[in-house]
Amino acid sequence: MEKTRKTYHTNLMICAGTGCVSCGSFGVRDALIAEIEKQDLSHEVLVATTGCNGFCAAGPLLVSYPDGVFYQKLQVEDVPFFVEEYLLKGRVVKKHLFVRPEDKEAIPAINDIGFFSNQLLVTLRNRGLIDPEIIDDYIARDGYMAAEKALNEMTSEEIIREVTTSGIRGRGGGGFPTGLKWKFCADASGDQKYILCNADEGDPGAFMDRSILEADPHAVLEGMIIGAKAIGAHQGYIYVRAEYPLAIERLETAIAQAEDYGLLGDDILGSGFDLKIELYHGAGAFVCGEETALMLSIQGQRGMPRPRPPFPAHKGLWNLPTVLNNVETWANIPQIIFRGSNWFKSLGTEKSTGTKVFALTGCVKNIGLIEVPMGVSLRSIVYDVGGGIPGKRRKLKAVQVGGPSGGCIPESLIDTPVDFESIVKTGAIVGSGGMVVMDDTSCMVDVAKFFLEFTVEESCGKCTPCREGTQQMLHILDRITLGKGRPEDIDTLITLSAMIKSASLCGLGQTAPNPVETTIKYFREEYEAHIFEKRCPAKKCKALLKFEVVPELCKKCGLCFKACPSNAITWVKKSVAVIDVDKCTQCMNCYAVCKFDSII
Amino acid sequence: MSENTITINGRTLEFSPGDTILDVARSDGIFIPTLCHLKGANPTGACRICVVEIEGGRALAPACAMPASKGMVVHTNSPTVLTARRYIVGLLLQSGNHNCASRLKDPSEWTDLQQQAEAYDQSGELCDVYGECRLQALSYLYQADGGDLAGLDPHYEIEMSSPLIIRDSSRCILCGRCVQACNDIQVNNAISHGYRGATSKIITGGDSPLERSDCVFCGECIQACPVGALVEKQSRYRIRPWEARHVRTTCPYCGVGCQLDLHIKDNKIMKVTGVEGALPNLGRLCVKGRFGFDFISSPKRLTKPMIRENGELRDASWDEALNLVAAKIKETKEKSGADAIAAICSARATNETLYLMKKLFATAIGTNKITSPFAATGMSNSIADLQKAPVILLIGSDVTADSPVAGTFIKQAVKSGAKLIVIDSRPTTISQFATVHLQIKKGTESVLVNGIIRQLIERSSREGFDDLKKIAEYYPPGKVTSITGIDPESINAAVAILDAEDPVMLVYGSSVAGLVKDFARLQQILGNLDREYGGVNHLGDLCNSQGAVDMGFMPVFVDIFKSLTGPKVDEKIDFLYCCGENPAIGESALRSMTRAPKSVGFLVVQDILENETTKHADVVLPAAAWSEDDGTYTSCERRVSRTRSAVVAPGEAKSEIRIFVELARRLGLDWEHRTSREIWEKEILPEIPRLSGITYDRIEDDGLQWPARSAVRSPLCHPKGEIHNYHHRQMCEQCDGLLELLPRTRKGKAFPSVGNEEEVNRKFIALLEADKMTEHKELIDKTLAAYRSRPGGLIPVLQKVQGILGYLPIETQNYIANGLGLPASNVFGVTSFYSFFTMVRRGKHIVRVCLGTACYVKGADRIVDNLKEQLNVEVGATTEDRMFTLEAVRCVGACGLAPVVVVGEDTHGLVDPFNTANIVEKYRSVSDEP
Repeated sequence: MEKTRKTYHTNLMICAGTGCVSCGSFGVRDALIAEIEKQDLSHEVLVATTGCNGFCAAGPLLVSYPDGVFYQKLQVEDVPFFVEEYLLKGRVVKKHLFVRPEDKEAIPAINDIGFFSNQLLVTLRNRGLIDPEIIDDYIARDGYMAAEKALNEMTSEEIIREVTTSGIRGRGGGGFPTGLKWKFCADASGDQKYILCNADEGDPGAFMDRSILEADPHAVLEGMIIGAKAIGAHQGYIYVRAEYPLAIERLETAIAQAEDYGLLGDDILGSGFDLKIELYHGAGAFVCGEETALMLSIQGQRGMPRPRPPFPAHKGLWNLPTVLNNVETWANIPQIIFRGSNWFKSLGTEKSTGTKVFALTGCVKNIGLIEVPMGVSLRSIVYDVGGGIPGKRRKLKAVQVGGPSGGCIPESLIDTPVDFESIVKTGAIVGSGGMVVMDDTSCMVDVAKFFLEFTVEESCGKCTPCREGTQQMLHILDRITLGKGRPEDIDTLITLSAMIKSASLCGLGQTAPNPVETTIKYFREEYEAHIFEKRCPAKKCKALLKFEVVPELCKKCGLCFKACPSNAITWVKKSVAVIDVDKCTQCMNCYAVCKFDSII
Repeated sequence: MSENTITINGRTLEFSPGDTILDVARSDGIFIPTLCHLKGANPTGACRICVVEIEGGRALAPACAMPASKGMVVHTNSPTVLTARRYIVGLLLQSGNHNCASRLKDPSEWTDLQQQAEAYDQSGELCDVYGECRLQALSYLYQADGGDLAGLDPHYEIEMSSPLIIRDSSRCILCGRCVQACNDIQVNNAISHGYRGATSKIITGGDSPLERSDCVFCGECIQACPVGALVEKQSRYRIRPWEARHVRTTCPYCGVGCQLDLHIKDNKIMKVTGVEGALPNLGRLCVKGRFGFDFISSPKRLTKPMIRENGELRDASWDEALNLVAAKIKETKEKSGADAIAAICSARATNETLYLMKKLFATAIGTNKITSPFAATGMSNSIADLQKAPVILLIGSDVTADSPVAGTFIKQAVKSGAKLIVIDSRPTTISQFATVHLQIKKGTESVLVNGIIRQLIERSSREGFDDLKKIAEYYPPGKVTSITGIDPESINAAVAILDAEDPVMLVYGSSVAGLVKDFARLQQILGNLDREYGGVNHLGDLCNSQGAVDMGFMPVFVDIFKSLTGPKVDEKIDFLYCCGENPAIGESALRSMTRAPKSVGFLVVQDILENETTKHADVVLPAAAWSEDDGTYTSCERRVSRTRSAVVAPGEAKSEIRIFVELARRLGLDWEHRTSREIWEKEILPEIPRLSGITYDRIEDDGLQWPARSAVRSPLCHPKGEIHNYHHRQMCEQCDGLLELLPRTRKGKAFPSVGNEEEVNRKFIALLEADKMTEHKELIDKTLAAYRSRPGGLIPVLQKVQGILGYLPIETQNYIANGLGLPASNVFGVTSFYSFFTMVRRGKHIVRVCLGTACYVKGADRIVDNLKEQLNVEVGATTEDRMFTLEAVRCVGACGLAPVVVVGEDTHGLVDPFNTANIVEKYRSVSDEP
């Protein structure tokens, strides 16, 4: 298990996050090692695997240090040429460089690429720089210094004071001040307490926690050690999604290494403090992200949230005082202790300190995992980091923030600063950090329906408003997308939303209507088009499409004819295409290929 | 005024710490509606109908679960609150088959709806609980019909198959009260919440019908159901709520003395419910108490006096019959003396009946041959103590079958942390709850108890007890182990629990009632006599076992039995008056002691039903049964409760006290006809000082307990240590479908109740054989053993077993339930909740299409459509060749590669929604290779 490090001339850091692994990064690594051996460069060049680099869409990725050259889309067959060019001849391999979309210029240095240069890495500070399976890599980057400080130099009160002063708020969605939560639990009576890490990331469109666990698992463990000391817990659990096999593997390795090094277990670092951390595999229930449900799940029960109070800080796991924070929050803690609360406070805004990791996905050029200071504008994230919207004809329509609990922020509010308060004002929530960019091909009614389908399926079924209310809302949305909307539907949706938000038992239900509320608020005309004109402006809702070619818009290119798999389109050169509705299977291929939006 | 005040609707109200808003409001007469709130169980906050507005609160709060805190300002009727309540009612009405509100609909639709309802119900009427449905009441109160919402398809078949209970999930509002009633109150653990979200349903283990589950048909769930999802089969469509006349009475079965509410219509008991909040049962009932009332309308009821003539019984008038009895008594007394006359009376009779019988035979006629076989003193402590006792030592009692409601309190105590030691030769249901179960060899209880006493003496230097020490010397550990078959470690474990500061409540059943002196010694040495949650407590068998003792009846009347043993004995019984007993019953404890009563010179039987003894009777007198006459019973916790006349006795059947008075008069005594109240207050109370003060008025509602006495008498007990409670059986026999259910609670000699273990094992092995997986059984068994004692082990075990077998069918779930000692309903509830678990076998390759947002906006829905077409399966289903299972999953966390399809372990990113063929076909060809 234990690997040791010596110094090399060149370090090739290959991304081994889930995205790159699925594109074959392990194959590339093996090919590189073999080729380097062949060229007798083994003592000069180190090939190492790292956690997620973040720029997932362009994998497999490789970053070379000390040069800092960023290579993308590297395949096994490219390896011999790459080794010869880059390692033997010392020439940058242009073919694999990132090309700036604006001017088509190839950018070698990672720090010159907008996706990276516009980020500020705190939580992800080790990404791409360490091998997550080697504890020495983590320690070499000041790892476990904070734990050492907390265990041997600080009292519980001092730790909590430092965390409170830093102003950090929970990164899991609620934004509750972490220091305050710890204080409640530290003040709760009882010798036995628990410390938990929520790694049951279930938001569709979010993979922050996964990436952190895969890239820097020790940061999470170190955070938990500090938290355990603060509240007086000696047993910890990490509740991790079973669907994250790589994260589980790396956590298991990390825990074993930390135990080996005396960083977990009895008398950690000679401080007399004991802590044991175990993994608990989630079994697939979004609602288990809710703290009381998560605790019941660890107890082997159905994850059905219970009313609070009593709060987990007083009665949590097995009815004992418990603190639960999510992966990202834990990963921030060592930095706060090591570099001090004032440093942390200097990042972000007054009420939302620090940075936030987002999973930037959807219709944006640079898809991936990003970290920015709180308070940066949405615009900066979408355009500076994300590189804008792909496709010349496509326009930014909305950014969905916060997953099924969040909302769609329209293009008109693109200058909204991304912090807890400002995002809530729009009707969305920061949530755990899913950020899905949508262009004008996304139908907002359909998006709302998508999230409602998710909630209906993931509702635990316990409380009436969430179980029945979301079904009713989905029923109405369904009807609207099928062209059977009724004039009163929008009002019913609004009142149902308000009721579900105020009367539901847990956070899932209390936020479930957000996607519907925000889309009605900002895209009401789209709902009205569906209901009154029986038209889907984004051409997404099949039932409202005519599958007709508009002769005035048709440029007679024939692309649709070629794309049609069922011979439903007749077209001859220089004439308008015609769709035979009887033959058409509504596969939508023609809509996808038509560059002129001439099919309605 | 104390500092602890809150403001509700402008009124400042005091509260005690721990009070919820609902508690405070209710105690001050402020109405807050509830649906899911169940008294005695932890609030779940599920239905949300009780939401209130708290100033400064982010959202509405459930009054049932929100603790009052200082300075809280609450509004229970604000516009937001009312809107929420109206919607909640509407949502629930539209969630299923709630056709009662259909009158609010367009009249033209009404007929159709009604017809639909009729067709659905297989009956001519609407919902059975129309008029007492709490949802309907709230619908009326808030004028909410859910009219602006869509009626969702309930898609559940009504479950008519099980006996006694009809389950209709289409009317279920998922409030969870039945689950709490079953798991938290009765602790039978037969049902649980199942599935989740829109498919949520209340389920049994394996989602089977009730009769194939762990259900013991106590019917607590029916009583808890606020709507028409659970109703009594017996009374369905036979009584409307407003037609019922209600009579409160005491249960005629075991010694617990449960308080019943009889629902009467047309001189018939239509249904029985527990009296909410009443002592001792707090509304709980068992299968017999709730469903076993039809014996009073049995065709076997005796309705006319009969006289034997020429070897045959013929109908007679009361005058004729009583005159004959009186004449025979006089004749016998004159010819053979009073001691040739004997009387036997059932402990099911009321105190008043027993008293008059004693008075007639002992005082007036002058015989002392009077017995009541099931007379037995009961408990030194109270049934309520059971729920709070820190340690319970249960000896020789199949309590969940014999005194089920007492059993619920014991199970509840264990659930909230009490320790339970069970000493029993049988693997009883209650032994599954035991901290330590000492399954001794039959009949060795005394040796074990004395062995424990010896160890207790040795463990700590207890002063005094010289007598006890002397006795204990005879019970060295080795001897105790060899006689009882219990290993020393287990005995030590029990001794360690007993030998602590906490009081120990010793409870025993009739099979070991003869050992009461041993039990008293044990409690004496532990210092638990005359102590709260301590004492020596016998759970009597019949509803008036204690009363029979109080009225002067001895359980075993040796003289009778001696005299009946045959010609060798000089003394003879020339006349036997048998009231409500059945000494001729085959194979009974009584029979072996009394011999056949046909050897009696003249036999008078006063009873309600034909039975084995009436066949030998010279005169049969038809008596009024329970619920046809007034009186009192004294329960095993010494509680005197009223039993009331609710219906008229059939035919010429007569009140028993009336029969005795009329007989007395024919014997020349000047007895007046008195009501049961007069007999109790004017005759019994003055004569029995310990009952003084317990007047009928004072026990109008809950009964009263008379002070404990230390003297304990042993009840009738077969030398083999068996008790034959043929009384219960006889009554249940007359109730349609009830008797077949009783073995569920008492399965003879071997009866692990949570799914018959052998059956579960057999099915699991058959499944493994069919799947060619038998070699994995060892690993699964190891896993189960490893997690058995670990709390919270269920989910890891399910994950591991699914990892081994690929899926978790019901057979496997039941095997896991037994292996972990968990209720099958619990295992199914968890399995069906988490999407990771599958109960059907899946294909060789699992094709998972990510439907996370990032994938969705990039066309993942099209991928699903295309794959469905391509593989010709629905989402969640497996192809016919078992090659592929198509699943839609929520975000695999690879959004950067959206849209993503995962096949097996391989992630395929940036999938072209219009070209999915190459992804799956690749796997098909791979697997085709040899």
